[in-house]
Amino acid sequence: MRESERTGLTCNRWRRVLFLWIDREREGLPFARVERHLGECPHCRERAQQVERVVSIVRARCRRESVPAGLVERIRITIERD
Amino acid sequence: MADRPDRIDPAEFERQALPFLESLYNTAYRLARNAEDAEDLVQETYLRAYRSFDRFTPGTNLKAWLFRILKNAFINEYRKRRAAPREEDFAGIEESFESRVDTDHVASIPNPEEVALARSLDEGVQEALDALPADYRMAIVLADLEGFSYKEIADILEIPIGTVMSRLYRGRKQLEGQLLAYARAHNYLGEGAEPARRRSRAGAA
Repeated sequence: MRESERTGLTCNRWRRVLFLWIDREREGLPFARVERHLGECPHCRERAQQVERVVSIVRARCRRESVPAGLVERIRITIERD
Repeated sequence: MADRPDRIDPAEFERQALPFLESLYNTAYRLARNAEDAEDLVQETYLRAYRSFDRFTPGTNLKAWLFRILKNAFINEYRKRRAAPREEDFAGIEESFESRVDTDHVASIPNPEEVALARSLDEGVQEALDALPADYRMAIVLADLEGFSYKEIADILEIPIGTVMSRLYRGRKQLEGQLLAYARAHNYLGEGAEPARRRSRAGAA
């Protein structure tokens, strides 16, 4: 097996953690080991950046839908009639 | 209907619950994928919440409680509409999916700044999100658009935190593949930016 393949397999263990790494601030998870691994492994670092891009694109590009006019009133009426 | 205890004050319920309307509607829209169904879903959510408001513990997370009701209303409605429910949308697709997507992409998705002018990307993102199985879509909407914590998502979806993580993991991975395909189709990627292995899945969008 080639070295790159072997390294890839070893890193597979990290991949799942990397996907969660982007939530590290919100979740307050101690990701020191992940960061150390990212410092040493360009392949995983690139994967982590890629996933961060996906999430940031979704956050930036997924539009917020505006609440239809009159919905609040319709909800109130439904509740008060119940 | 008469299963509502008399002590629930509609005005008090509205005062507490209506501030979450915008978030609930937005999430309902992402789940239902159209305005009409989203509105029905939100109305149903508020009605159910009102009827069971005496079971809500004051001081706990009302937003998460409402979202849990929304999720249940969605699943109910969704199952009702399917003559033959496709279980794969709600459970157990983990295995089948992993084998297909657990491949690294060589190509990379362009930076948001790089495509800041490409307005059609909004549609691409929308389509990619809409194409996700409902389970993954819910986890991603709650985490990435509504900002709920893993713990809150676990409470809302009534699943263990480990399952939240795994749905986020797989959902984001599938999104990545979809966005990459979209970027490729719209020439956002440069020459030589092909993935190492092409999969022969039919386009999901």
